[in-house]
Amino acid sequence: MTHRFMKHLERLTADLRALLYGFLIHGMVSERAARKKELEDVFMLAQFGGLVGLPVFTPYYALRFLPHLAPRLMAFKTGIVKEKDVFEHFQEG
Amino acid sequence: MNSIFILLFWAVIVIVGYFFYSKYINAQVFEADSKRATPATMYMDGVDFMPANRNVLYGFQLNSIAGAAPIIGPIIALKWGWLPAVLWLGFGVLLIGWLHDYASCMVSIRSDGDTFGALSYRLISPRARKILISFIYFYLLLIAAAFGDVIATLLSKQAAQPFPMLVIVAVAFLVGHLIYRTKFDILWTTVIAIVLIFASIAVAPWLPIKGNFHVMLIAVLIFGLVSAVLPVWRFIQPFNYASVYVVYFGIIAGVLGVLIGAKPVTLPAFTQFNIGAGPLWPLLFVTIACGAISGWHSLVSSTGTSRQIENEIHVRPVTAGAMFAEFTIAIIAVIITATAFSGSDEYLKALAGGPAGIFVTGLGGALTTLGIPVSFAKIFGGTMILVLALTVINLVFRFMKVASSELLGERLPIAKNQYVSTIVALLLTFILIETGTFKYVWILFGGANQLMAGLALMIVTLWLAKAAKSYAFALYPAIFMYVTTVAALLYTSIISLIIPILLGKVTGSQLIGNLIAGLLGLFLAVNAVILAYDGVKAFYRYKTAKAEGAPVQA
Repeated sequence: MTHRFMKHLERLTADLRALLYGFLIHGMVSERAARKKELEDVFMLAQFGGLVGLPVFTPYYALRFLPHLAPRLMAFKTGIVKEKDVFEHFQEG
Repeated sequence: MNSIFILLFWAVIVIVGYFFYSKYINAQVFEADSKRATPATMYMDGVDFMPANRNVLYGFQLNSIAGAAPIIGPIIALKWGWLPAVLWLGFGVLLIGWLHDYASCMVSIRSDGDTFGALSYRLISPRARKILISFIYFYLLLIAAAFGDVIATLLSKQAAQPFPMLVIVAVAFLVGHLIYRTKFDILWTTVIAIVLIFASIAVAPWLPIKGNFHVMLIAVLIFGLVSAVLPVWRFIQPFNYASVYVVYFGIIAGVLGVLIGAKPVTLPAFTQFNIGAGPLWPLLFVTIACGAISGWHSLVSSTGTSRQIENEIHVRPVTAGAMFAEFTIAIIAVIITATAFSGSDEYLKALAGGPAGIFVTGLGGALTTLGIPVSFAKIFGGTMILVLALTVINLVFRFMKVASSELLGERLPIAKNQYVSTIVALLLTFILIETGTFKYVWILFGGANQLMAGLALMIVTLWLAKAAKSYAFALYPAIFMYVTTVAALLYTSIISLIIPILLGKVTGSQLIGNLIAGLLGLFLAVNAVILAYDGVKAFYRYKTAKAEGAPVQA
């Protein structure tokens, strides 16, 4: 019974920590992730803008990144041309 | 009557609403399926679409929806007596409120994470989206005016309040710098912030800052300008983060104070149907918004939350759970106020000084039950209200900036300039506050907010009708919210604001204020009628297509 009680207590503590994280920190982390993605998008556009129709000639050395960036290319292409609705700004702040 | 009976009513509503009614709708109507992929798991871009733990999302949702409205609204509504306020809070959240939040999130999830703008475009009509954005711009203007007035009034009437607020602003810049620039440990940063804020509250009685209403209003608008133009990480987020501990402590201490104190209710259960601002129906239902039902929540649920839900079975605890938590905050505010005064006369006299002042007195009383000194308790209560209101002001001006750019940017390129659009929003807010009467501005804000809820419920009804699911439980609340809020907007605009102008009963700045607020209310009501017309047409389109078995054209 003590073991079960301790397990319940552990789970409750974990849930409370997650709740506090969500209440206090989650918004900040999401916002930082969004700003990081913006910078990454700028980098990707500068190097591989040709993939989405920009007149950017990908330099030779940037092609060396390609094997590392290949898994993200599809998500980049769909994300960069996706129209952002004005209502999505409610996520900020 | 002891306030414990109100808590018993609260417990019944939460048990019936969360554990039975919401469970039934979740299982039988929406048929939440743990195996169905959500947008967060389908798209997973690491930013917008990112699955999050349900407890994390619950905290995030609660933080997003809880503001000053679940406190201010019930305090004002006690003019009709505590019984109508408690009944509307209870039955409102039970039959409409939780459902509105839950269904907004669920419909967005089932529509690939679409926002309400996209949903209104697809389900109602293309012009519905444009009308919704213009509606929201003026709705935000009313929020800014209502909350700005509350803040400026409290700061001007309580000389001890400005100092802690200045310290919180300074701490916000410090916290932003420490966390984002110097990468200082967040735990120590939090400790420093909490110590500085609580110390400032403790020493505030010895550092009064006096200023009249106009000076404090300008200070609030400067705060709004700074919030809108600076990067989010520099000011808004550290401000929200540092100040949330005040709210956190206040809620816990307030609840404990109410439970331990168990004071008798001293205000009457019911005063009269028609008070100064107008009749109980429709005005009670717009005076109390958050806590019962609030359109703001649908905007939050259908953007951030719906794109982070990992599993459909998490939607109910996150959205409905957070709504019932907000209902709890509102009930605590009612109990604190209903037990703080010796009778109606004292309450009405205190209300004349602003609803925030009442909460300060009430929470101060609850905190002293826990042994906290009176002077600290009162300033703490005021700081809590100010922080809640300023958190909303932060977001409002940022969004008005974006909305005006969206609406006017094509025709007026200058509207895309963030400083221009922010200053325009601030000027409009200033004019509305300086010329308007607070009680009517609050009713118009409540009307717009509740109308937003009606629109959200209409979108939910249309989605359900299109998906050939049972929709009556969403349709009737939608009709109720629509009829009540349009009635409230029309009553306030025409009878309370415009008719006195035509009868020559108001002059000077009050005439201008009445005219602006009255026209604003009429604009919102007309927009709502157009949207309702388009909504009804769409509804019959889906019903007819369902009857004929043909594919439905949007």
